[in-house]
Amino acid sequence: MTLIETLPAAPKSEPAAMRSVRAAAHERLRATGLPTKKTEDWRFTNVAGLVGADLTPGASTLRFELPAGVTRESAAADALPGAGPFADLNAALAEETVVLRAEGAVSAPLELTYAGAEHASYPRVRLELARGADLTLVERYDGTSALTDGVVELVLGEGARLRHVRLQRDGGKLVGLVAVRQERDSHYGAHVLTVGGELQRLDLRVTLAGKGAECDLRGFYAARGTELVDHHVRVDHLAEHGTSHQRFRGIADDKGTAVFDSQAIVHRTGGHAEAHQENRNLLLGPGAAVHTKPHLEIDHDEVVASHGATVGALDADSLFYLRSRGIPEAVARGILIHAFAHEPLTGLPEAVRAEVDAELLRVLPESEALRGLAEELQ
Amino acid sequence: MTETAPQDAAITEALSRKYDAGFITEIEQDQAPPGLDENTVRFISAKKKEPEWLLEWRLEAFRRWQKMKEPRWAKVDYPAIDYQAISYWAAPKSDADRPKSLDEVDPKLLETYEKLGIPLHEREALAGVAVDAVFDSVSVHTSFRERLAEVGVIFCSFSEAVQEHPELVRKYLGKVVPTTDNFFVALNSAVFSDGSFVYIPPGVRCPMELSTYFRINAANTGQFERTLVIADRGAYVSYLEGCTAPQRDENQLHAAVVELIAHEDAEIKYSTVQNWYPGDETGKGGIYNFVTKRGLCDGDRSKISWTQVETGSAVTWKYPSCILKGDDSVGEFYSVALSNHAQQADTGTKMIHLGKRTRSTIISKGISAGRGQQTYRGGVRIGRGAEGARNYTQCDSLLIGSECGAHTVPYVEVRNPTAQLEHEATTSKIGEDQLFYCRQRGLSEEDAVSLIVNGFAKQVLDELPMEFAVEAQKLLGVSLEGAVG
Repeated sequence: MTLIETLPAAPKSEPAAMRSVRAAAHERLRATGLPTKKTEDWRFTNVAGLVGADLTPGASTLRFELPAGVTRESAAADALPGAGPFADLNAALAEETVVLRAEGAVSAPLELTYAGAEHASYPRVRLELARGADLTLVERYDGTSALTDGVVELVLGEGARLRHVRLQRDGGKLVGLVAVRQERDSHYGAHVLTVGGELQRLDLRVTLAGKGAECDLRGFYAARGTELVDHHVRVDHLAEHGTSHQRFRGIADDKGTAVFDSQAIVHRTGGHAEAHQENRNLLLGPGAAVHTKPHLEIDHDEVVASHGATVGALDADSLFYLRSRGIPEAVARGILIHAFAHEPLTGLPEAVRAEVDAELLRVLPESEALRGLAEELQ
Repeated sequence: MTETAPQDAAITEALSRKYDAGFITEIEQDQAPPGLDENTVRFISAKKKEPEWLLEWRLEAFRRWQKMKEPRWAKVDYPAIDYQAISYWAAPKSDADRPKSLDEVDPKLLETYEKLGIPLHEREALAGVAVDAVFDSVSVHTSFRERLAEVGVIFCSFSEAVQEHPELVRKYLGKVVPTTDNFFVALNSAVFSDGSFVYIPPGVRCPMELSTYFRINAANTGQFERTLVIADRGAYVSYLEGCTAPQRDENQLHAAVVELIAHEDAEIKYSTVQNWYPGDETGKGGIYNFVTKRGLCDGDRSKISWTQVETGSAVTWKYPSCILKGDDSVGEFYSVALSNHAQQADTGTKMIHLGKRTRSTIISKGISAGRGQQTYRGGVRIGRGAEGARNYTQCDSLLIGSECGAHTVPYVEVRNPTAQLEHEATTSKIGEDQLFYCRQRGLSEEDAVSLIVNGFAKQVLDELPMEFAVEAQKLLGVSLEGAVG
């Protein structure tokens, strides 16, 4: 664990409270170290390559402009204890915490762009939505990171609504945590698109802390070549009448590996909950692998919960139907794959729809054949 | 739930029902002093007049066990077990002259079975079931041996098999569940006392259902059963296992190992009804059940089917699994698990697909009531070479009462793109509208719940052989009638 022993010291200019948060995170990290394949949450995601790598943070890679209605606040000491070794690594090394606050209905989307760099970076953002605020947040992870270890904390006040789009197209190593806390009657909708990357790991954790809070988490991921994409989604129903939906789909092609781990936890205080999980995977490459684990933990009887998971190849009947209508095989496959990928992405905010479509065309197999068809139709 | 207040009393009454089979038979025991070291292992082996290789095998397992750690990943909570406080050997005294027929059996023993509603002789005559009753550690009664011998079926206690068919035991023992598999397997391998051995020769369809009734009796004796069932080419056997234990205030450890091997075209159907003492309302005194059950579909087109009804034990840790090695082999798992009061069950299955076109089905129904905690933990693994493999999993949980918990933890790993896999699960409260409908038709609260729970579990109960289906339904009824929160 030499890596952790030699973590660079935090900037000296910080307030004492912040320094103690860093010290605590550093201490936890020293105790646990980076996860190994024996760590349950990291069974399929090997980060051994990072041990010994240069993790010194470089210049900030985060770019953003604030739309009217969103303001920047002074940083507060806040560290999400227990969120895992990478969240601790981030807390220990983050240059600063960018604290943003949204009030009222914000019409323009708040856009955060992370330009992956050759050095490690530890962006840390905290976004608070005031009571009744309404906002669209778009995050873009670009470039090829040596390591981007990001933490995004979202706090939704009473009745607030947040639409969150996260485009993960960093070609390098991206490990991220999105921690969401929802107060009474708030609504959180997430669309995650993960296309490509040597190592892409996202922990999406939602806490339904207020009565009647709702979240709708959707996503699509693709693992191609020798890529590894890993999503860990967790919803905690702490308050009554919470509703959560998780709909994730993915493909694993070539020698890609897709890991999906989802948890819905209904606590003793979270009665009258509704929790649904769905995960569907297309396994296309002969060397590809899918690991999925939809996990329910229910400690209350006033609950409606369900989960479903599937892994398989393209449906032979659907393929046959399209072929029998004179559609060439490649096009037929393209249609089915694209239809599969688009389903969880319905309801995308208008602002990013074209961009997402283009990304899907870029990464999905048989897109070429489909493009030809589109041109023919025009 | 204030409107149902009058019912609450009835529910509480039903939920707090005492364990019907809780009594102790006073029979003199030949018991080893508590404690475990190599000498204990040697003592057991010597007592059973085992050959040298088996002693070595036990000692090897024991040495491995000493280096292993007790697994704690399951979602069960129990006080630390002191393995040195357990006595590892207990046998009824009449070891020297074992009874040849029922008439010679200690009448008190027969009485015990009678109280449990298992009249052996009646079963023999009416149901045609061969019963190998295990009273604590040594088999005291085996029936229908002659009839089975006619077709070449070997069905005897494990110790007899070691004496009479050492070549078979040596060939298959530990083949599916190696001694190093896990902590409890290593312990069992070192100190196992007895169990059942079944061998069905090629092409033979076993003429009757084979059955073993387990009993745990003497206080403070862990029971370590070992079962080995082998179905040779084209053979078929249906094996029933059922158990119930008397009320005790001391936690009793049970770590059994069951190994099934199905050769080409063979089929093994293994059914369990487990009703061990679950402890009192606070969970005190119940049985700890750490069982490793695994079947190997070794040959092409072989099939292994597990069916279990789990209503007892304070702590259950059990994952009957299938290794589908042969092409076109089939694995099935049907389970109903019920936890009431302070019972905790972490149970499920593992289906490991290795052969081509292998298929598996998992149907699991969990029922939690009172403060019961229930976890389905299952694994489906499809290997690179499992061309065209297929799995269907369904696990449903029913919650009765606001203090219970139901958890589902399925692990799915697929490495072959031609495989097809579906997993579905639901968790919900017992349907108020269904209850209301039944009550409105004049059914009592208890009958209504019993009806609904039995309907919920029907898919699994249907898989049980006739002899067991009735018992299982009764068990579910007794354990849960009227349990509405």
